Amino acid sequence: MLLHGYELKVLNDAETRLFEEHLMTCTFCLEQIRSFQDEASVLLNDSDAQEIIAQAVEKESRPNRGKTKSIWSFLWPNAPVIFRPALLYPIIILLLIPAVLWFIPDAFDTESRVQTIHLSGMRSQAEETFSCELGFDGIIVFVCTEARSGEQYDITVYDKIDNVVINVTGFNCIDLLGTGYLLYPSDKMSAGDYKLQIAQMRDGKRIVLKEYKFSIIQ
Amino acid sequence: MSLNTALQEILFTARSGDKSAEEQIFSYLAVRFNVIAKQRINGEDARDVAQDACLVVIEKYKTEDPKNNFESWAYKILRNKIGNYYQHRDITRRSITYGYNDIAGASPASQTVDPVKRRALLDCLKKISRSYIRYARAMNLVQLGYTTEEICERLKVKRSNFYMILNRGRKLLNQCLEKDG
Repeated sequence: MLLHGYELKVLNDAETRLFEEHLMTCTFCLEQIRSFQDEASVLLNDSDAQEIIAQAVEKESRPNRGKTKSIWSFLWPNAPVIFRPALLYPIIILLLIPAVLWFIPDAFDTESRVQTIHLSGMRSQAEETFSCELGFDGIIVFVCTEARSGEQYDITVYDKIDNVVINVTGFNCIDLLGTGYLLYPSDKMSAGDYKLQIAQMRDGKRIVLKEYKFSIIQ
Repeated sequence: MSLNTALQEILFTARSGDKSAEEQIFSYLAVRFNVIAKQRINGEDARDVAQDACLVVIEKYKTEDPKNNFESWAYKILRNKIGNYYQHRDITRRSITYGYNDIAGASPASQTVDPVKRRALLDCLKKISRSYIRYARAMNLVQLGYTTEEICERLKVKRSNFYMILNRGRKLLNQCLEKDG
């Protein structure tokens, strides 16, 4: 442990005496000292060595400057301009964006995909046209004043040739004011004319409570 | 056979008048005395002092009690010789005790170092001082002439830790020098 301290002459008198007595019997330490004698004298006396050490210490005491310099030397090294990371990385990123969008079209789509078809504001017998983006789920909001919260209803959506597009039996998503919310899945949605029928089974008979006619355009 | 046992045998032979055994003792001591004297005295004087000490040992070892530790006794002679050297050179008391500060102003030993070796060392020192900043800090304070106590206080380390830092730095320097050939 005292080896380099002895070489650099930083041991106190007791330690020096102890180490030198040890040196008298230890061939290994003796050889270590002999082989490093030139290096130790350079470390202690050479002005260049002192400058190197002083520069390292000074640089370390100003970490931000050192870091900035190293970051800059990483981003803008001595290489052909096109290979310098500061230029190369933005180019790569710019090229990657369309590629990612191509393979994962929804990757950057942060907007809500839910679109609402408000039938609730329609007057009786009226027909309304809604502009929807196909491929997105929707919610049909309707009002049926005859319907009551907690009861079950049959909700059916027909297309213009009376094919059933959606049929929900036992529908009970109707609030106290008679407003219902029906999920309109994207795969069922296409442009065309539709009819939404709210019905309820009473005494074994299917009674239609309300009908809405609406169109969807792209 | 351990070094100590071997030395004891050589001493025994030398005491009985064997000249070659005496030469062996002389060379054994000369190597060690030279290293220690060089550490304490700069320049060519170190070799003279080491040689003087060797001669005294060779002169007196026959009359010395064989039960005493030979190496310790020889080392005391060397210390006395070094002390006498500094007294003769009219050096301050502190320098006699420690023998470190070459007030006489001997030329920097680094000037005699092989330039290729020196260059390699400086390159390695540059690398090590970047990668092992504690060593750089410690070395900087050593070079600036702070005492060990002051260095330990500034680095906020114990004395033993300070020596550990130095030794680790030395090990890294050696590894770097070996790597660079």
